[in-house]
Amino acid sequence: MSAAPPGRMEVEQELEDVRQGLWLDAWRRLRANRATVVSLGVLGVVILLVLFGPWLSRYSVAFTDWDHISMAPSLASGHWFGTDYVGRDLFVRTLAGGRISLAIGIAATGVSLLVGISYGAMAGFMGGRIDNIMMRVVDILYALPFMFFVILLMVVFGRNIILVFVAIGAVNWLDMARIVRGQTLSLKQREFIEAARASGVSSITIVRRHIIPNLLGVVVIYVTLTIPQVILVESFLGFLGLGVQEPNASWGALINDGAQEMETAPWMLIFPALFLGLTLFCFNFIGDGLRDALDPKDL
Amino acid sequence: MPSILKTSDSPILKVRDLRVRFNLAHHSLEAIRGVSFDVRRGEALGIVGESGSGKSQTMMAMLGLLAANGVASGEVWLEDRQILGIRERDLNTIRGNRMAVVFQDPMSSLNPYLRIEKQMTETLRLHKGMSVASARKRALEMLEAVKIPGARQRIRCYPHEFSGGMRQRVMIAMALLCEPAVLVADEPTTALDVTVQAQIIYLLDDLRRDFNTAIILITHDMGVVAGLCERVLVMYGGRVIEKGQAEDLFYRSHHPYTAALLNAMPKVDEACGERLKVIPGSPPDLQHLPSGCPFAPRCEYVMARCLEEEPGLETVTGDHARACFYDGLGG
Repeated sequence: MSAAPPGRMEVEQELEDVRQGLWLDAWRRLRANRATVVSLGVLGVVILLVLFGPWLSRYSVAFTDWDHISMAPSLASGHWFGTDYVGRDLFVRTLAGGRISLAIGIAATGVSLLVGISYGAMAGFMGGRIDNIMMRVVDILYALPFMFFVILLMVVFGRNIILVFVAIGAVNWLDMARIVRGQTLSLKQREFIEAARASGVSSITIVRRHIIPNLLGVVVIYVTLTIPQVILVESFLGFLGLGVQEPNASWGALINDGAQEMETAPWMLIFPALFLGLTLFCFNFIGDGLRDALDPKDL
Repeated sequence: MPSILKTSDSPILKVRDLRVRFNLAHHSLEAIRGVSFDVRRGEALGIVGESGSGKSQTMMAMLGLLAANGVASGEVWLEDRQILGIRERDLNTIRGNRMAVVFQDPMSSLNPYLRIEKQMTETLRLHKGMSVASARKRALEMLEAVKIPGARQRIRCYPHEFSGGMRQRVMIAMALLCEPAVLVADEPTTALDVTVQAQIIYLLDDLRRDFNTAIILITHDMGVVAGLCERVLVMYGGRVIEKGQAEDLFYRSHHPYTAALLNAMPKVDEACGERLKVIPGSPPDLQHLPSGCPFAPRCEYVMARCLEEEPGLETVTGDHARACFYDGLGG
């Protein structure tokens, strides 16, 4: 390897510096936004509960308590959120279900973020024929029916929760790529990109340094919309018997069950729905706050 | 820093027979038709012309920044190196380093998401391989050189915290960071107030002396040229139609177009209510250029010959040259 004037280490150090600058400022501005700070706190509590909550209860996810079937919440029996129609403890199931819902939401969104941004930004920035080919690939993948794709995966690889992650991630990045490409196309026309080119900055650095930071506002909003969407898609898959399988649970699956018993055992719907709703609210507020915080013009 | 103005005789930038062609859907269009000029070290050259005369595209072609459908031919020699059509990677070692640009609109030429400091040090780190600390120090020096008050605090600001004139100063400081041999200023004052315009022009003139940088000023404003440039190039329809010392052009113009341009400048001492003078007609459509002189349809001295053949650049005196058949002007 030839040692170009700015060494690799130095460039990385510098990039680190830029990232820190941007995120540090964003953090400072974020802290001033009360709704966002509260949401962060609530989301933190939800995540902690989901991670460690199930250990607080003496019941497990699959344990059926034949003495307490479809029982209302009570402190005495230890079923704090009540039980479902086969006597399983809802407290444990809601929190354990949250693990899967949140993990899918965050992981699938992370994948779509990573792939979507780099793919979309590259297509938009290169333009011309490369852009055309890259976006036609997206169109083709887009045309593939989602359910068909999921069923195909299940048939080939067998039923596995990881596959749900893969399937959702594989579909979600398409939207992200389109959004990012569109933004990049309009950003590319801006004079500061031309100015960067005129001062000898390479294409990759322009994308990384000038295009991506300017995309963040839109991307962050889209991410906060994607996480809830992914959680709901997972519940839809579960409903069709393709998602999480019994005795494991997810919020979507629990709400589905709860909705059917709404009249006789409303707690079966209320608790999972409460957690899902709370989480989605938090993500929305955080997204909104992040968008404002990432824009240097909003002080 | 060298503060003696050295205008050595060997040109630092040589442009030879530069042509730019844009391929459109069904045909192609020649936007620049054989432009040649020299720029010497520390010299200020003005390129003047109406919109569409090809003055900006000349610069874009020199820097390899043409749109994707643009093709440039000819030669551009910067410091004895031919740079037209070379690889992007090699070009990137020259752009911003040996030849830098100041764009027209300072409001949109800075990345709104990065502090001034980051944007300034980027070039230095890239071309000079400077450490973060020394790049920062150099950026600060340059901000002080372009007379930004409180540079030490201002360097930590975002672009939107600057006024238009201040942003243009930042752009100029950025362009000069690597002490380029040539600075191209593409209508640097068009988007600014008149009072700020004058400040920027004086600033450019000072910096040219301080850094011994050649400046190519692209503008449609004769007043701006008069304030800064020693030599002037007048472009029309993608060609140079007159060039020479600024004084020769201003007082002894030998081309009807240059004369008309000068005549069209609003004058403060003109009687109120008098209409501004204009050049009748509109700039030529590059797709349907007339067969003879491109200015012939608008020229008040047009002769039969003008409509048939296109005049070439001919020397009048010294380095004053013009492309016109009519002899009654100048002197």
